[in-house]
Amino acid sequence: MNNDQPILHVKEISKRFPGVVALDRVSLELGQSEILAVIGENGAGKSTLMKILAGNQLPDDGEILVDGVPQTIDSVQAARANGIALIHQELNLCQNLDVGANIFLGREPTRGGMIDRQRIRVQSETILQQVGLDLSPDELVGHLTIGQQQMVEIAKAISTEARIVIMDEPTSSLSQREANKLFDIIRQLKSRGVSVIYISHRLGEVELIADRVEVLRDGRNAGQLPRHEINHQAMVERMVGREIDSYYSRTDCARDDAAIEVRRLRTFANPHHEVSFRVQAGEIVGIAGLVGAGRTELLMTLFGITPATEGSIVIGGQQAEIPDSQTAMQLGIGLVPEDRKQQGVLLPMSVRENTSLSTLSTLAQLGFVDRGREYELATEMTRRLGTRTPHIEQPVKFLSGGNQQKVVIAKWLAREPAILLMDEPTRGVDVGARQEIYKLMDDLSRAGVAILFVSSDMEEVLGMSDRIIVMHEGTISGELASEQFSEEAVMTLATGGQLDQPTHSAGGGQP
Amino acid sequence: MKSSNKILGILLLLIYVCVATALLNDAFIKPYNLQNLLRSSSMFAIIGIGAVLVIVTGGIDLSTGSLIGLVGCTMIMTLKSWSQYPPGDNGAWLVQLIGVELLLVAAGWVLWDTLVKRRKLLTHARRPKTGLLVAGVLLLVVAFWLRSTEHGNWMTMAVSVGVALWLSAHLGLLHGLMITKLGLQPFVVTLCGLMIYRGLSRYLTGDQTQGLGTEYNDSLRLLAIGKPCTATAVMLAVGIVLLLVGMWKSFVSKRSRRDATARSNGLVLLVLGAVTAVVASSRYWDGWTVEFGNTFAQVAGLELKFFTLDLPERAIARPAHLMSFAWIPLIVCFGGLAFLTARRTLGQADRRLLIGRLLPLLVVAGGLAALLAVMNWIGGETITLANMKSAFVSAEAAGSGDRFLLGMNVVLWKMLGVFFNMGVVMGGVLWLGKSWTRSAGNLPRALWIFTLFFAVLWLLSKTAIHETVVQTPFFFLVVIGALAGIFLNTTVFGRYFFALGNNEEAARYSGINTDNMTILAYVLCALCGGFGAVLFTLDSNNVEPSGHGSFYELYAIAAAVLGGSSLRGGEGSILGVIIGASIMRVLYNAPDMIGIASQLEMFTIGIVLLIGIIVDETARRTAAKRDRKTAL
Repeated sequence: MNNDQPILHVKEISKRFPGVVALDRVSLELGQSEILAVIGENGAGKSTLMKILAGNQLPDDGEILVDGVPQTIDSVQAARANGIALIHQELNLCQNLDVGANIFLGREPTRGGMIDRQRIRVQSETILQQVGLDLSPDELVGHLTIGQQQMVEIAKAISTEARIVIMDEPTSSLSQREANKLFDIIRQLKSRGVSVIYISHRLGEVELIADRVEVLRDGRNAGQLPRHEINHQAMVERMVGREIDSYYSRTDCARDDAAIEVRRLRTFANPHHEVSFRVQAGEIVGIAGLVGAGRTELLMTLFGITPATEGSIVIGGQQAEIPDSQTAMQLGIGLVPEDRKQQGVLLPMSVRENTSLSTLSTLAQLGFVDRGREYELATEMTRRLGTRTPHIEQPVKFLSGGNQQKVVIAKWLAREPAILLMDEPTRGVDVGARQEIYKLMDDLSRAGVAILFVSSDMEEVLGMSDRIIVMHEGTISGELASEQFSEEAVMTLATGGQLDQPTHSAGGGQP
Repeated sequence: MKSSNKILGILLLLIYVCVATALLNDAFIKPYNLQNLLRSSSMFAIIGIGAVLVIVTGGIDLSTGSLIGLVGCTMIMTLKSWSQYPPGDNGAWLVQLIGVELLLVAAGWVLWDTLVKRRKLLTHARRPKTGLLVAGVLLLVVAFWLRSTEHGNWMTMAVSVGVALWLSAHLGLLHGLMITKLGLQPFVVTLCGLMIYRGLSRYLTGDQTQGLGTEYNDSLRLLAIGKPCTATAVMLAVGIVLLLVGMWKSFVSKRSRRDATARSNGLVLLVLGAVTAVVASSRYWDGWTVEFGNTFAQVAGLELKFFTLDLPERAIARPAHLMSFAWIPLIVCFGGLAFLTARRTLGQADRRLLIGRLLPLLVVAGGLAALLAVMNWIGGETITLANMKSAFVSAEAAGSGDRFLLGMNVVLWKMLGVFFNMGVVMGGVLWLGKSWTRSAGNLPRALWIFTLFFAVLWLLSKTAIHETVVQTPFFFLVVIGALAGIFLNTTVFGRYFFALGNNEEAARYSGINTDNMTILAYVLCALCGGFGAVLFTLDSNNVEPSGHGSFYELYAIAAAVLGGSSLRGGEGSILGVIIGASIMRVLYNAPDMIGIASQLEMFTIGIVLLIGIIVDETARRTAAKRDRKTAL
């Protein structure tokens, strides 16, 4: 590590969004050819920080020094000029173009005003070899697997001759083999003098490759770990910064009668794999797994958004068929979807209209909405969930993420569901509201509601579930009872491993 | 809250456009012109309502114009060829058709459930299925009854209208099914519809112009050209309705007991209604043939006579004279409003933005002017102040244009002068109306109200209300508009429409049957189009298969957008589209009034709307930027 002068120095930058302080005087230093891991819970401010570095957003306060010189990074072009390249968590490739065109998108080499395809091909081939992708540059990106696309994304970043490469959860959609290849590439980059900022939730990876770890918590710096101090325990302590037991409130109150039982179900997205499980009334079951394991698709099938191709669902002892979401609702199922802004709420509409949306036909007389009852319902729900809104006519887009999520939950509570499906219930929700949502889940289960929730937040899965179902590539790779809970066990199953040693639970220090 | 602001904005715009046109030519406000304007606005507003219903759900219907052509031709052909059969049989045939259709749908549904879905017979969705069956059988019974009894000629006419509506509903259903079940884009589906229906109507008629002649002038055609009453009667009715609504809002309704503002708003309505009703009803007391008192203001003068019997004629006429000078305070108020806006907007750091956006507009105008100068020079004519003045002011100057190149120089000057300014002010007015009603400050609000007040006053002082006949389409519009407004704002389906347009995915995740809602929207849109087609056809009585209704879909969409609908969906208002359609018709009427060649009327509408929208949008963004800055 070259310690003379940091090539990137972030000085006390702050960023506020309506209702949320995303970053509060966060500082960061990055040395030449250093691999810095930035870790933190969801909503800790990692993504915002990286977006600021990549020129997608402007900070409200603070400054960024590159090679000791203050720079204004107000566009992606400015970031590129400073040698910064960001690999987004979501793929940003044009599916309709080939690999070479994607790598050189926006800076195509030209000859006489025309795109120099020959040069693109030759140069892309070299870069693809560097990242170890055995692909022709003429391949259409749309035909590649997600993992390959991720590698193309990385190739694109490398090709800009960036001195600082930022990777936002690059392994979230990679297989273990591909991930190992990525680590090799990162080490190669390091040996060439490139610095890497590596963001990940997977602490194992961080342990493996990081030179230094910077921890963020609730938009603030929460400590640093030099190479020799990087271990799981230390990272979790700094990330969470509080006793996990008090954070999650869970009382076990599962009853004997099965609320929903799924037998040999095949979903539309994974037609070659079967899924069978059951959830008791009053039980909270967490579904863990990596992105793309088919968790969201399973919930969507249970809610009738994409009907099952085969298999049976038994609800309350009755054989049920769920061809559409209206039927699912009649069977007492509710779904808090994954993408809140896109699927959960109607942003320009008011809290009242959002709350009553799924109950509207029961609030109506002869097809006319009964405004009085609608008003009462929304007021009651706002009070019960503690939604912070100036009044119930407030458009939902002006609420914070946590309060928006409460509105989505209120929409389903109004129907008094027997089974509540929740997909990433606390994604993008601030810590306070998160705790309230956990409390609410607990209350609901005590009232006999069966809750099946998907989460990528390991702490949350371990803290809230009575039982964990782990999914891997469309199948259930294992179930964990509460005495078997451990991060290692979940990760092993999620990556397709077998739980042959039941003594895993000692490690990690999880409840 | 937000949509009502928008409506006030475009209401101000409508009044501005009317005042501007009336100032340029008095003929605009003559009874005959008003009567035509009212009729055509009503018909366009009806198809506009259909467009709003689809746009609210995030869709678009481009086929309305061709649909109007096809439905119009079909209706006339049906009427002509069926009049040789007994009317009872005709009626029976249509009813029978619908009945059999319902039975077939029910049977198909049952078969689908049992054979494909493998459900037991009649276990699923029992109520709608039996409903369909019962309705189908009932219709067959009605058909039998119709066939066995005697009926007048009106039956055939009703059937031809029924066929028109039946056809349009089915075309709408087809659009909806293709968009939802086949997953096609609304734009593409309805674009294909546009071409198919146009071609079909030309083929069916052999490109022969269709007309009913004079045979139905005092029967079926009355639907479109009937003259049930004058503006005075409508005013009387409106006054009474306002009075009753005001009474309800201020004394009876639950809200009036809680909310003092609601009560005072109700009182305002009550007073307005009372005044309108009294003034209008004075025409009845004086009788219809009174020489004196052509205009609203003079009616008001007679009102004075009614209370104080010994007033001389001159004194009675005084209010009318006074009112005709209302344009002076109108200009003062509007100027004040504009000045306040300019000060508020330009006093900020965002001046650069405003100028940066409006400068291109000025450059375009300058370029056009330069082009004209060059054309002038080629034509051997120098530009003088007198030339320009004559171009601006006198309508006769258009005739002397042939000395210039292309013979349209003066016309172009006139257009540039009047309509460029009109566009700029129109955009400004639109934004003013939207922003002042929301923003704080008592002075601008008062100015706003006075502007509106004086504008209406001046217009009414010029209008001979008792000679202005209100034709039947207006009443259809009132009924359809009320139904559509109630549907969109108070029913479950209406709420679902908005939800669907805001975010289809979220609506589906909330358990709304989005497919059915989409289909319903297209059916309702086509029904509005079909009813519009009936009126347009009967109105013109001269249906040219290749041109009847061309571009009407664009007028409808433009009216909807003017009226506050967003093409992204989730926003829309019925009252807005009615006002929007009226603005479109006035703009269409205005060039004619000012003496611009009728070939240029599309050109002018386009230019005026474009400039207006640029100005409105620029002002809005500037304001939004300022609001963000002050918020931080």
